[in-house]
Amino acid sequence: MKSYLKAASASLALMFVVSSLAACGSANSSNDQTAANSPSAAGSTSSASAPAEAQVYPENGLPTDQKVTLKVGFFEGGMGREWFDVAVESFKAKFPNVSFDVTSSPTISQVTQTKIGANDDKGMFNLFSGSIPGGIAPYVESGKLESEEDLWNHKAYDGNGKTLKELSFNGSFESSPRTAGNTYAFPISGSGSGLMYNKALFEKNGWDENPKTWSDFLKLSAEIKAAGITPITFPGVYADYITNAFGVPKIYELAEANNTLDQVQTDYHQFNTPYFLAPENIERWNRIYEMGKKGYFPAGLAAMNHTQSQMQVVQGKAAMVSTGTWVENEMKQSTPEDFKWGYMTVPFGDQPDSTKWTTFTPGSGFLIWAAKPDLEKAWSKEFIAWLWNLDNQQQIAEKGGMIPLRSDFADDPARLAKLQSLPSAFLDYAKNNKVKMDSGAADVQLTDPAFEQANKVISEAITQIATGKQDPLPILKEAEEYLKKAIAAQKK
Amino acid sequence: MNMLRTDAEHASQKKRSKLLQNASFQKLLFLFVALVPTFGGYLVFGLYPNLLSVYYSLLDWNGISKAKFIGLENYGRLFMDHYVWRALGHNLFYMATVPLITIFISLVLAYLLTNKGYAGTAIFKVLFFFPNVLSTVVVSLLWAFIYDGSFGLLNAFLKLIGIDMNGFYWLGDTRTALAALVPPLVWAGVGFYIVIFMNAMSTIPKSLYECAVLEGASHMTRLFRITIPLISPLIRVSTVFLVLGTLKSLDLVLILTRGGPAGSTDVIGLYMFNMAFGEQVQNYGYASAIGMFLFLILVGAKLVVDKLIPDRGYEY
Repeated sequence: MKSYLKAASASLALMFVVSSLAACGSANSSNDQTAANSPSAAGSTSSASAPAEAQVYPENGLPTDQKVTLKVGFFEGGMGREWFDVAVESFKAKFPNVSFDVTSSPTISQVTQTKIGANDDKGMFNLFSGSIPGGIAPYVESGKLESEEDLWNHKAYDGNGKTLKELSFNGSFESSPRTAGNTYAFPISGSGSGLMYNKALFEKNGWDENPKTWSDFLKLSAEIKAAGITPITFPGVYADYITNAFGVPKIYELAEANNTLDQVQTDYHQFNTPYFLAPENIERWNRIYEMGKKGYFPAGLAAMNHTQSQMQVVQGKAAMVSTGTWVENEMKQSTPEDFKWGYMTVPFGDQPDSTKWTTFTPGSGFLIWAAKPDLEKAWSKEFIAWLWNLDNQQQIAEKGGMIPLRSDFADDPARLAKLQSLPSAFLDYAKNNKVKMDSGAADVQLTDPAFEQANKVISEAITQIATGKQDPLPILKEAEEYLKKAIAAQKK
Repeated sequence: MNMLRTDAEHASQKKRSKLLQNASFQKLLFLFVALVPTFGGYLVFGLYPNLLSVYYSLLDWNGISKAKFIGLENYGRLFMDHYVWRALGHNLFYMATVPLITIFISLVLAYLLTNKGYAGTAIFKVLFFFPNVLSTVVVSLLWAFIYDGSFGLLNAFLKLIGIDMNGFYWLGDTRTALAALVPPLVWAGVGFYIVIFMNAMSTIPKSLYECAVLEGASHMTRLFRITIPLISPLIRVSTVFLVLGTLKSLDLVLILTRGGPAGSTDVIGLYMFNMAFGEQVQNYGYASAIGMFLFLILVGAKLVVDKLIPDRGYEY
């Protein structure tokens, strides 16, 4: 028995030593590769290879003979990752010296944050999607992220010499989120937000699928309620989801009607006060409160998560859900085959032909870690530009359920038919109505805890307001006070 | 020359082997080998980050930008922050209910399983322990299903006995959400303490119970007069664990309610977490100050438990 144990121990020890050596070996080889890709190595090689023109790709001028591995942190959310894998494969086929090391997760931001915390630039992702908790402003300020603003002037691989900016869907360049004036997660697709509904249910009941005014919308809500169905739902556990349908663009819609649009937009982009107490914002919350008092939102709202609220619509217990166009892809496993989503925005105006402000967010982009070798950063940008190829945009639309950002996407009807029903419904809505799109994002970021408290005041009150239990005005006043503190602290 | 070196080497080898044979040296070596990995781990992964947190609490720092020393400003802000006190109030509610209910149910069930001689004692033990092997996420999802208004088990059960709750969402109402989190917290913890108490109860000599039975003591008398006093040191330790655990816990709240509705289930750990890793703002300095405050509360809670449950052991 003892001899068996000894033999087993010796084998284990041997295995341990061999695996350790193997690990050391692989670590060394990866170090060698990293060294070759270091900025200095890349720089010297590129200068040395400058005369050897045959060694660069004509499309982008990057060397063909230097192997590069891009570490990617991929957010596997509602879009899934099928479209991404297709894009990676086609990129590798086109540029065989580039390979990818992909880590994907629905909670990739936690992995990213841990990597950032480890302060190891070599181990950090080159490209990563998903957000960074706390926002990117501090990272931009510290120079940790690479600006991708120049990509707007990058020529598309299949755009006949046109730049990405020239090929972008109307309004995407302007409404792309920027920090300190620069784009940091260059958008690769768009998502529309608003109210998503069960089209068959609307058709069966003969409900208005395109209410043009606020009073039309209230009439529709009353009809739905009278039919014993909750008009609007959203995940109260993540109460900010209400802003998909009743977000900042609705404030702009009211401001446009009041002829105060320029002022209000400036205030909302810069966090000028009155912010929460801006008359248009008070009006927005009062409307939600009035709807809440009429029981247009479900009573158990505060306990509902994404799935529960979205399932309410799928099951016909609620008519509409405040979310984004990604919901179709997110819920595709749970919706019956013949289920068809419809889209509408909440009209805040009194005139049928007034502008409908709609939340449209160009996004799903990848951030680039600045402390990576120049060659890797250059390839990272090329990969992002590659995602703008029509083939990839089609994959993003078809498999990811998102709205393509290429304006020439619709030139080919066959390609347009590949859109999922909800992005298609969104584009139809935009075509049939006078629509202005805006992401509602601010240009500056406040970092004082008082700003988190201001948001907490609002987000805690949302379900109470939407169920008619809380008058919004005192809440908005409290939030305004916190905001003033945050602004004052920021100025110090 | 060679001969000289050999002699020197021989002498040194002899000295070394003598040292290794020395009992006190061996003892020291053993202590060193036994303590260094664990104590080192504690220093690096326990004490050092905690001491660092004390320093962080004096900074205005988001973890990435340049830290700014602001002295006790975070503490001043903390004492004026009504969210901290509201969250602390919820923690105190859980501290007052969860440990008491958990200990009581664990004691009663452990006593029954140990002394009643049920046929399926071992199976019951496993069943009661089962929630402890489930992750918090699973426990949370199970209870979210139980409390759901539309198809929840609780409403279905109440309807069965003639109480129609009309689709009431237990976690969606400020009047019920706080209390509704107590059962999952108790359910998730009770099995562990049943096993602990059962093992402790099995060491109590049977003769004590036999004497009590002869003198006509009921089960309740035996539980409160013999069992509980004899395992009281263990109950005390369990209470400390539960009180401290309840004060620190945030995972179940984070998954089930995220502190809602309207902040009615917010706890201090969750508030600290949101300040450190918030969607809009990250402020490690303020979050660390809240952490330090929580640390003081934990020390205070430990002292209170020590005072309330004296360390009185009985030999048997």
